[in-house]
Amino acid sequence: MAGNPACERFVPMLSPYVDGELSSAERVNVERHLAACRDCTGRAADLRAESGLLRVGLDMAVDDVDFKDFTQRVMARVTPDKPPFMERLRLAVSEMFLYQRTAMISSLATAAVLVLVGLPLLMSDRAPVGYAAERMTVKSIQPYRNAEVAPVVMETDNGGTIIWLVDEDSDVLPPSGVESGERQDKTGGGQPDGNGRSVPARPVPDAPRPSGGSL
Amino acid sequence: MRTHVSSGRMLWAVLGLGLLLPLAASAQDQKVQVQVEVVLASKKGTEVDPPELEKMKEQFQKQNFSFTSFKRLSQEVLAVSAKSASEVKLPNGANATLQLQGIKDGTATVRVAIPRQPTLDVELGRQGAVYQKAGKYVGGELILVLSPPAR
Amino acid sequence: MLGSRTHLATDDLTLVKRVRSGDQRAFKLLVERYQRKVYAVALGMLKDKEEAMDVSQEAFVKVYKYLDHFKGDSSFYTWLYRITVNICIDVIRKRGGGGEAVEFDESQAVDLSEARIGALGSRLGTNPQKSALRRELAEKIQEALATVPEKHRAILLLREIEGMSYDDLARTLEIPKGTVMSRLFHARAKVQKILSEYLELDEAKSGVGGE
Repeated sequence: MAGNPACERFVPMLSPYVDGELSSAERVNVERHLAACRDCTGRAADLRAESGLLRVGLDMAVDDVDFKDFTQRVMARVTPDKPPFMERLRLAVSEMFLYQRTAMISSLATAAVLVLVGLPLLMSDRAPVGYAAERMTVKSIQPYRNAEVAPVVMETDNGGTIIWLVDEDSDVLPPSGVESGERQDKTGGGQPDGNGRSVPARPVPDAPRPSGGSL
Repeated sequence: MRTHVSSGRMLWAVLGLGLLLPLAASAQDQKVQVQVEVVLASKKGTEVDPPELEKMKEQFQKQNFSFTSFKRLSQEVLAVSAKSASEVKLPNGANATLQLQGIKDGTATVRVAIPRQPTLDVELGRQGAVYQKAGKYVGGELILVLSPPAR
Repeated sequence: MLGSRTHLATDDLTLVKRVRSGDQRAFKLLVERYQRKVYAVALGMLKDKEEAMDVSQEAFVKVYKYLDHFKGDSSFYTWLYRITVNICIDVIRKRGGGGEAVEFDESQAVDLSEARIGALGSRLGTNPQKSALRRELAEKIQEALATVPEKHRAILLLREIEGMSYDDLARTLEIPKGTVMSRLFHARAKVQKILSEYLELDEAKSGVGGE
């Protein structure tokens, strides 16, 4: 079909027209042409159909994929796990390899280092450095500046400790539970003494627990 | 072998290093590993994410806290040293700091400082955890959780 | 799902701020907000599902790593898509080979003699029987995409998947708006041509008549 020469001008405008990106003056012009031109109306319909098809096709492909672990996998790539300890040791040793050219030195050195460095570290691997104690405990609490409220120390039944600071606007613990300054003698520890020095915290099992509030 | 002599000397050097390394490590550059999590506890909704926080939710409810939702915002294992404080970014813009105070008889004490909160001295142990209130955030409370690194 | 924009740009920026101050969960929310669309763009660009998945994850990894470099003077998603498209283009270049995509000669006059104007529009109609055809055509369209040069492909995909305005497209791809317009036009024309050729073949085979 011989193209109407006027169409030549309008055809490139159909794409932005269908996308709604024409100025209102341009849009009026295009619509006027469309009213008179069946071919261009067909072309605009084709563009819309193509748009829809593209979306449908991609939608379907995306629906085929399970994104359940996607974020996890992204995070795994962001923060790669440090290779396990023995691996790191092996890497460190193999780097020494590179600097000692002679095979004899390398193997002896490896053996020596592995024994001398590896052994003590291996043994402490059972309990990491600093973890000789059985439980995580709070040894002392230093209140924040001249805080009038004393921190509350609670022991969980799986060996954990909760340190909470009750402030006025916090309705987490109901007011009938722990009242700030007045309960100093009852909470049994973790209190600032007169000079604001820290006092060893001993959660007292028989201290009145904050009673159940609005749950 | 021609290289026997020099290799012997090299070997001594390496052996020497091997002896010195662990000793050196135990002196100045003491570092302890602590797992630090920042958890958002709120009374809106019942979401527990990740599911391992279910235990934490139970413990808090047993203590009569009215939080119903626990979401972990971040988790990292820090190497806490005596020389310089390690920082943990809190989502409310503040930074919590941890610093090793010392190791006595194999038990390490770490000082935890959170702005506007009491400063704690925590003795590390193989079990248990310390939950400390760390401030308000987006409709809930932030809780700093210190625990032994997961093996 | 695709091609819609139901969130506000400020929402993204708030999340970005939170991620910067250590809130990993806010990052998770950002990822979940865009993962499908980023994957769709990558798939449209690369055609290979596994590569597209790999590239999608890589895009978010880069976002996380370089979040401090994001100045917040543009929308988050333009930055995200720019990263995605750039990774895709790198992958395509590394694949090497001329590939099937030949650069357009955009100075060529518009060819108005294309056959069967209105074929696509009418064929698809609302006839339920045509839904099988729709699926087939949708698959064909992805093949047709591969014949379009990658820069043109990127614009078409971003337009259809994210519904980006021409201004945003210009900003994302760092090209003038006029270039966006003409590339979009030529990409669409090419895809349509391939599709209508396919339609003609299909019609000839099945003996389906006119419109």
